[in-house]
Amino acid sequence: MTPARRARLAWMHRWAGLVTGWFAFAIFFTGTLALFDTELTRWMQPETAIVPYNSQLTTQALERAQQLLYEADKAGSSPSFLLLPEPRDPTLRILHYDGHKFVGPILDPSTGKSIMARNTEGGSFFFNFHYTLRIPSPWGERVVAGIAFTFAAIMLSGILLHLKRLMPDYFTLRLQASLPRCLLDLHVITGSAMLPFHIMIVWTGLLLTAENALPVIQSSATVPTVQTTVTTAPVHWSPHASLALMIQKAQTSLGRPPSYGLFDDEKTTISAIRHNSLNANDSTVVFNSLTGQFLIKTAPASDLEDIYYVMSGLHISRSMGVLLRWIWFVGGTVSTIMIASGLVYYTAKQKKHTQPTFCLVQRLNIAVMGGLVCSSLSLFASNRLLPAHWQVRSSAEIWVFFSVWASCLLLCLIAPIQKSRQIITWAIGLAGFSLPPIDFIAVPLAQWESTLHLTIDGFCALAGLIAMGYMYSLPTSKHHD
Amino acid sequence: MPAIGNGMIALQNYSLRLVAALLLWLALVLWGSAIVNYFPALSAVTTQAYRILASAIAPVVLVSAFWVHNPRNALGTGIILVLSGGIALAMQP
Repeated sequence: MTPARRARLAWMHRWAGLVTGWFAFAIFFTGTLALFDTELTRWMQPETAIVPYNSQLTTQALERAQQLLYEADKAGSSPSFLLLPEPRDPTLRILHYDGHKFVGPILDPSTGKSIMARNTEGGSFFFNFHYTLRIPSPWGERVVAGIAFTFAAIMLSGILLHLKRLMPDYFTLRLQASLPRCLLDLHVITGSAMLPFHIMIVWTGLLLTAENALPVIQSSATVPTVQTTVTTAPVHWSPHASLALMIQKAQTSLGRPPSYGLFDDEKTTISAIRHNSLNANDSTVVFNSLTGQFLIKTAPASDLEDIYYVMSGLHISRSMGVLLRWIWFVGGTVSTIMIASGLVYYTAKQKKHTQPTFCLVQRLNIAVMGGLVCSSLSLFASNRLLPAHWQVRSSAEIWVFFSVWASCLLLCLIAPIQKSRQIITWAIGLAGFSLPPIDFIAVPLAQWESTLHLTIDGFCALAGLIAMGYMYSLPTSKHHD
Repeated sequence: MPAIGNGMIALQNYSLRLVAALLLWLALVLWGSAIVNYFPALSAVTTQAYRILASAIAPVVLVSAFWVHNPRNALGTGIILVLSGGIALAMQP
């Protein structure tokens, strides 16, 4: 590669990385957490712990669910759907979209009794943030699609820049070197060590956002003519035939326990997720909601459709097993560190410059990255500290999340860089260390699930420990971001 | 003064390359749409195939605007591909 070409690629890598890096950090950070969204929801609704993981779905519970669906339909509610007990979440949930999130009653799958769980978005907050940045639809998805495509180009330019040294870079991390050198080593080692994961997750992400970034423009010749629709009376969506019977038939037809049911247009669609599989194509059967008559079973996917579903499954990781999910978590964490080290490296190597731009970048680095970690821990803390049965607690949790993040931004803009960094690091340390005792005090012992609570509390404490360790390492590296 | 002049030229070159990258992305959309529209009976299959392929080559296409030596070549290629894609989309059978 000629020096001029190398300079051009480096320019693109640097500037495109800087502009999209903060968004990419937020997308990767929340995406990594969203890998365990169901588990986070269960942790954030400790009341559901009364339902053990091996609970069996009974006819009694399904009849109760059907009654609730009927009442919601009668009240004019938008169509709900049913989440059946699964190994990751053994509860029976009736959900509908309220314009911002999925809400609805939670039932015990054995008895059908309602569980008065606290109102929270749970782990789905991180999932939604990951692909919308909480910007209203469709702009959120479009922004994320734009960032995904730019990030793919940044990644390719990074690979081209380091292609020659790809193998040596696997074994190079000079922690005792100067800060810029150390950061560059960290950026390159995290980039090259997990390169197949980065390529896979970015390409599959591009595919999932392609609807927004690669739209299909219809030519005038093929635009379908607009047909006037005849206004008809609103169709009831709740099933009238026995739901228990339809689910039983679906299980026989699909060969595995169904995962969810959708109700619309006098049809009941029951689907089963392929567990321990990378294929996101769910097997589906459709029944007539009025008679319970079996209507159709989806045909097997074509090879091309299977490629698409496997690529989607690799990114969404909804149906994969626990081990793969943890590997993806490690990969996501490494990707997040790669982006963070790249952003900090940009300012660390610019120490001779004193322009306001560099100061602004330094401040934004602290506000965006430190602020996001701090606000995520605050979200968990608010879940435990806000009154459990407060009507608006779900919105209050989100308000806490964005308020803490906005406060970090404000602090970084008005306070000296060193001071704001210290305060945010202390806040992360404090929040991380205080979460396990808060959890222990706020949640009754009967609702404690040892593995789930120990894992999540452990990760919060680890975040606190890393923040404190970073704090004590500061005197030796004064000019950190 | 020469340093400022060189800086301005570099900035202009990079601006041209950025515009070229955007045009190349637009060309991908136009050519992809034209191919999908060309096979209306298979639109579901061709749309998926187009998106799988286009998402794979999109990073290469975007980086190519910074790979070529002359920014005007990148811009010219982008303009030609956009125009031809637009014509292909407009002239459906």
